[in-house]
Amino acid sequence: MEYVRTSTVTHEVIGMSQQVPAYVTLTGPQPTVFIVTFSIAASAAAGSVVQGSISAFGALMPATQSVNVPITEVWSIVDFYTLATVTPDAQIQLFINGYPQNIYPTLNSVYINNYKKWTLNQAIKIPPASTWSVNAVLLGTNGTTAQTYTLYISAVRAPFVATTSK
Amino acid sequence: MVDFLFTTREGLAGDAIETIGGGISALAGIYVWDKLMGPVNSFLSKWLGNYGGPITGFVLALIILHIARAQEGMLGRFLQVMAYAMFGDSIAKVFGIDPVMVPTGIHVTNVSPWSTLEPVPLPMR
Repeated sequence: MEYVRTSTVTHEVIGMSQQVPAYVTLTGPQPTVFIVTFSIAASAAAGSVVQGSISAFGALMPATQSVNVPITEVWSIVDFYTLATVTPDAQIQLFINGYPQNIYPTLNSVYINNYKKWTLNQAIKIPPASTWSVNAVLLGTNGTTAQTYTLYISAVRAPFVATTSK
Repeated sequence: MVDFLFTTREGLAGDAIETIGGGISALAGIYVWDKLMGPVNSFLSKWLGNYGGPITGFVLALIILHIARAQEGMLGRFLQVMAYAMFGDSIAKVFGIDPVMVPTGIHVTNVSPWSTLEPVPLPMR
């Protein structure tokens, strides 16, 4: 009798607190925004190159200077934008696997309220397992106070599906 | 299912599967052809006499070839392999049907462009 009661209680406790471990992964395309910050030192000279600190995986993961795309995913950058204009302006340079990509918008040209904002007409594909980073090149001398520029990158993370050439 | 096997396997295994699948499709095509031709043939023979069979066959062949050329995906592949098996290489080629080049639409178009390395055009904003 005592044994049965104990057993019942034990089962209930297990049932209530039981957690099934499961590998969580991306199952479909997911729009996201990467936040890139550039720390501009006081009196930084024109032409200074500042590597952006990228927050790609959300607030729970620390920002990094370069981001590795998971080997199971492909990322598509669909837009660059800023929420404020900056002085001095800076040119953005995207690197994928160390290769500078052939787009060079300035931060002010992607300001979200621009009447004719700089836009991409085709998504930038970042292949699986790639490393990417963003640089900014100052187009003028910074003032006497340090400042931080913020660039937002709209992207779509999706599970990678290889297609045959057939 | 057959289409999935067709489009995903490569190399020797893929060739073998395609050959077997083509054979199955051809047999199924001949079976359908036989079942279809019987009633149609006897129906038209009342008016056309002995010419009913050949005329019906010719018209059906043209219809199948045209449908096969236009369709994509599993139905298209079925019809194309069937047409190829029934009418042979030269006639199928005249109608632009090449089993080696049959469209793989059902498999490829179901994949989100975000999931591939193919370019994704973005709308003008």
